[in-house]
Amino acid sequence: MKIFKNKFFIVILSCAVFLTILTATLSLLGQTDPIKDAINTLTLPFRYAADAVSEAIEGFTSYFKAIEEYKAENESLREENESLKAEIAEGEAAREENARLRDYIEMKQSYSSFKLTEALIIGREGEGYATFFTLNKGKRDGVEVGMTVMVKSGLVGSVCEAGDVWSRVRVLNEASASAGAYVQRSGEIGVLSGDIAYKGTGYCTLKYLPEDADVVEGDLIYTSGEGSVYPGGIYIGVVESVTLDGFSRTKSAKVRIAVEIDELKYVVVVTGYESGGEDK
Amino acid sequence: MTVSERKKGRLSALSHALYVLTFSLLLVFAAVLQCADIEVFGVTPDICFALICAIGFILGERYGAIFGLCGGVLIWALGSGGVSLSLMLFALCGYLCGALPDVILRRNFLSYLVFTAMMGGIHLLFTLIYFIMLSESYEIWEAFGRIIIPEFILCVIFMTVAYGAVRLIYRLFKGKKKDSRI
Repeated sequence: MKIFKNKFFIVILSCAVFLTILTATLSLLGQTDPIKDAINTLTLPFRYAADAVSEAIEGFTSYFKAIEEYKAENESLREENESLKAEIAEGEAAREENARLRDYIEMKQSYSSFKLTEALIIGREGEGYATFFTLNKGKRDGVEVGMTVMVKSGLVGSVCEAGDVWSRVRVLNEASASAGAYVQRSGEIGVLSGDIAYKGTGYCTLKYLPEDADVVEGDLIYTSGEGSVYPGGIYIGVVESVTLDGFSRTKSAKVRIAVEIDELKYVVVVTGYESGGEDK
Repeated sequence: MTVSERKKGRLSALSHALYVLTFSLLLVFAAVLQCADIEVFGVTPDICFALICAIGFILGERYGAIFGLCGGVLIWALGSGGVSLSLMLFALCGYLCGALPDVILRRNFLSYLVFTAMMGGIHLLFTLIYFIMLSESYEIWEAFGRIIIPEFILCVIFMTVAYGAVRLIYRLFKGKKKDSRI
């Protein structure tokens, strides 16, 4: 090419090669000081201006550097936050377990005549509002059909099926469930059963109360022990309203059961109890 | 030659001397600035190189090459010394920036943008050679990400800025109408 074959280019290239070799040689021999001193002295006035410009540029870029630092800090805080969240979750789980075990111990003390076995709910059935659920305990753990299932706050239901390592529980407000119950204040006795009309609402009906039965709103309902399924004295719920059936001449009460079925995780199965000095 | 023509000749020589002096001072300033180890986003831009390329493109290959040699010596003296390839790089790129536009492209801003990429590429090659010579503690691919590519980008940006500055100064002294090169 013409641009590489002219005299000027050859001269310049020669100069560049010569100067490169010269500077390299001087550097290797350590003889650069006089030249460096001279050039540094001559360029001294420019250094002040260069320092000012350099500071301005650094000031500008430090803004972006700060963003990078904030990003790194943000990332580190996010990780710390995740770790703290995990710790909180662990703490929450420990607190829940602690509360559950405390409830279990209190239940053991309150129902000292009952033999209790704690079980975990592993499956729920029912449309919207569970009326059957499956437990992780079965015959191997002493769980049999007909046994009472409860929690600290009250009665849950009874075991309707039992396998070796599982069992199925029918909840108290299921339409086919029923239990002997009494009104704590007046001692009036009736039969508590699930009602299709209250499906999914957490209500039951206390039926077959005499026409003149002393039942009012706010009365507390407990199991009576009649009917051989549920032991007596287990809290069921509270009366919300009372109605009189003029045709059958009986009273019935709408009872709100104390246990929040949908929030249950663990329950206790009554695997045996003493009734009047007799083991059941 | 008439008196008026002599006057014009003297003025032209004066303005020529003035802009050469201005560019020389600018080059010294750029070399000092570069050796002050300024960092833009963690990378030191080659301001001197950008200025030499712009001077070469606007004033021609002779100025580009001579300014390149001077810039190389300045960087060597103001920097850490030692074996420096900057001198060769500056002289070569200064010359090419002045000579190539007449051969392969026209002398306008768009072709200058093409040259910024070309010269940036040559600069990248020299950085790579320098890097291999120094065999720094970085891995080569890490060096590409952290030094070589960012330096290339900064080089292209600074070359564009330098073009604007050199063109402005050149026009101040030469005037727009007399400007035959740009």
